[in-house]
Amino acid sequence: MLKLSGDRVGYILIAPFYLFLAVFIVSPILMNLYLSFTDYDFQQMTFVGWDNYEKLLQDSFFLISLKNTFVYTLFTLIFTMGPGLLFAEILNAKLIGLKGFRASLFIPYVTSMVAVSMVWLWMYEPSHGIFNVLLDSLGLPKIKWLYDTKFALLSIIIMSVWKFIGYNMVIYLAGLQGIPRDLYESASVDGAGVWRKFRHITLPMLKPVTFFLVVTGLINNFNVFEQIQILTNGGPMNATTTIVHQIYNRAFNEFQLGYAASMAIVLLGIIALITVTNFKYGNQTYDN
Amino acid sequence: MDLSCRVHLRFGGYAMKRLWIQLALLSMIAGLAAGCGSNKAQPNSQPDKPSATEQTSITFWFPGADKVNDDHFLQAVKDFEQSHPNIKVETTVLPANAQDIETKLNAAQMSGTFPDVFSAYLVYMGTRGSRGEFAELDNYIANWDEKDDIYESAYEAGQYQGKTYGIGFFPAPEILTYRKDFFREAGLDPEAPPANWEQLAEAAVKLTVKDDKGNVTRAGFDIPAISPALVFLEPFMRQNESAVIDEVKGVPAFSDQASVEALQYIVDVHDQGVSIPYNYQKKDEIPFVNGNAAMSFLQTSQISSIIKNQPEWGKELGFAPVLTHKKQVAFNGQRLFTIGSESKQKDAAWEFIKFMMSKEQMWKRYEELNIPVVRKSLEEQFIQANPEMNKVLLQYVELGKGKAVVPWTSLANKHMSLAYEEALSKSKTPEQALKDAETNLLNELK
Repeated sequence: MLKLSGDRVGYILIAPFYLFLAVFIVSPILMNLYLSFTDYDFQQMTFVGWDNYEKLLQDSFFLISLKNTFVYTLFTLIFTMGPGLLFAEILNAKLIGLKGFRASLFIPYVTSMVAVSMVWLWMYEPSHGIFNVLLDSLGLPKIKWLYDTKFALLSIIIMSVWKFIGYNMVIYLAGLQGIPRDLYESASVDGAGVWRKFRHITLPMLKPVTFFLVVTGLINNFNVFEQIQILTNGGPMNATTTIVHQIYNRAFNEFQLGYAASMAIVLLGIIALITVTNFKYGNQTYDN
Repeated sequence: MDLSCRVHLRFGGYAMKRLWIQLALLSMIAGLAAGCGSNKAQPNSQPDKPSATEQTSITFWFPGADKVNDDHFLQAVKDFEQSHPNIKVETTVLPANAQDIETKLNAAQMSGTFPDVFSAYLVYMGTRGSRGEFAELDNYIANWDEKDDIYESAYEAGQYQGKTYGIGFFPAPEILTYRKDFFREAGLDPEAPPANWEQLAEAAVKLTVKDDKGNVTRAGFDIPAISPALVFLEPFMRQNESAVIDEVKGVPAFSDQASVEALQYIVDVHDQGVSIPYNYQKKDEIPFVNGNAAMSFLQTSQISSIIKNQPEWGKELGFAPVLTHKKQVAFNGQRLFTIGSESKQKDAAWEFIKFMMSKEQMWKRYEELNIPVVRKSLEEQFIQANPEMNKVLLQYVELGKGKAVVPWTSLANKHMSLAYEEALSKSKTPEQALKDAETNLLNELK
């Protein structure tokens, strides 16, 4: 039973943060939900019921963006977490120039996405960009990178992995440094090799960190937009358009705010479902 | 210290502490509430008409391009403020990309900060003029003593359903520009640029330079891989007598045989391997601008920038006449001065527009940015200033047609540019791509 008098101060202390949540998070979501049932073009608003959601099911642009977003999220997550952990393991050892390596891996993460995208745009240039110059010097055929439907999304994934791998490395590094050394010593005494120690000590002890990175990675990657807008604008032939990119275009270029709102609700639903699933079935602790 | 003192200090002190915490929290909440409160601007108590002495402030937004362009307009604002000391102009340089401008305009519209004067692209006459975002200028124009000196086309460009929402001041033709030095290298006559589709295709092949692996190192002709605004493709469609969009009936008309043939022509030239892929909207990516192409469609501001920043080959630029096929048509965009419909300083805004449309400012725009004039009284002087380029420029303005002025231009662009990419990449035939694009557009317009 709550002791109101004792808990009152606590509630007052957390009240501003809940007020912030209510005003800046919950209210916009509810307004967006209402908008999704309207046809609104910045001037007139007409209630249309489920029309926007029915239109979504037949919208080829949206369905392609859904597929692209899932592909982008899956591969970016895999290639930032796996190599991130690997780098963290390597940089957890005592190496010369350790701080320099850690910094150089983390610097891309703190650099503005716009600046990074502009530089990679130049590097991906089909004729004189540095990647094609390198390929050419190795005797390999040049690739049209951002102008080839087979390579455009891959190009963006590569850039995103380069940018975000440092963040995952730092988080895993913190996790690794929190694992008690005596566990490894005991394992060594029992004759466990490097792989067995990694599999039976490191990975289980990193479960909370992995869980955190999966959940936050999924949320961030599902919301990918800046690099799409700058590098390809969703092309070529919608090969790189994502859900947020479609929301942006529908709302701000085509003045279909109600329809864009329905896309946003669908995106919210997908992220919420994946997050809830993670919390329900994912292992947040290392208590087995 | 006795028990009562300790109790007093403990609980009295605790109570004081709680009081301070509660006061601090209350002030935080009050601050938050104040910050979230309405921030409506005070009703403008100043009269709309600026008097000779009353200080007025207006906002002016214009799309940026490069330093030369931006500096010119910023200086023009300073010149206006000198001649109109009672009117202050707050200037905002916008991104050049139309899509980025849309974002800023939408935010401004929703927050009530739409600019008083906005240098609008032609496409906005349909997409925004139709939504009442611009003020009608007919009354202002009727009372303007210099109105008869302005080209009719400058007024027509700003009209939507019989009302004038903008005055054209910046014809923006896309001029077929070429490198005379590359022409000489390829054994072509630098004074005889291509004049029709066949000559263009032939020259493109001869001017292309490839390495020993077959990679294009210098494009013969810039063909964009991505062209969201269709500025590249539309003139070819019109040269083949397609309407592209029927503005009278308000329906798309780009799946006809004429449009299909035009797109097929582009695909055929592209298949000869004469271009380096680029995005037409990203102006700094254009291979010609970077010295990697022999022919390209460029705007006058890009030409000016090359002449200024690339003196070693800027002097080798040549300008081809408007291409002809069944019809001689070019793309001629237009930028127009508009006044926000919600502006509280319409009269001051009109004063600014009149200044910018004056003979002196118009001539200065030509001298610094190569922007063609739209005044009849300046036409002769314009041609005499640079007969080689300006005669061509005027031809593009005279024979040019811009984007269609309909409310759904952005939707049409989306579907047509997808069709363009599909045809270029061979995932669909031009006929199928355009047919699907028109069907999908009509479905969206229902």
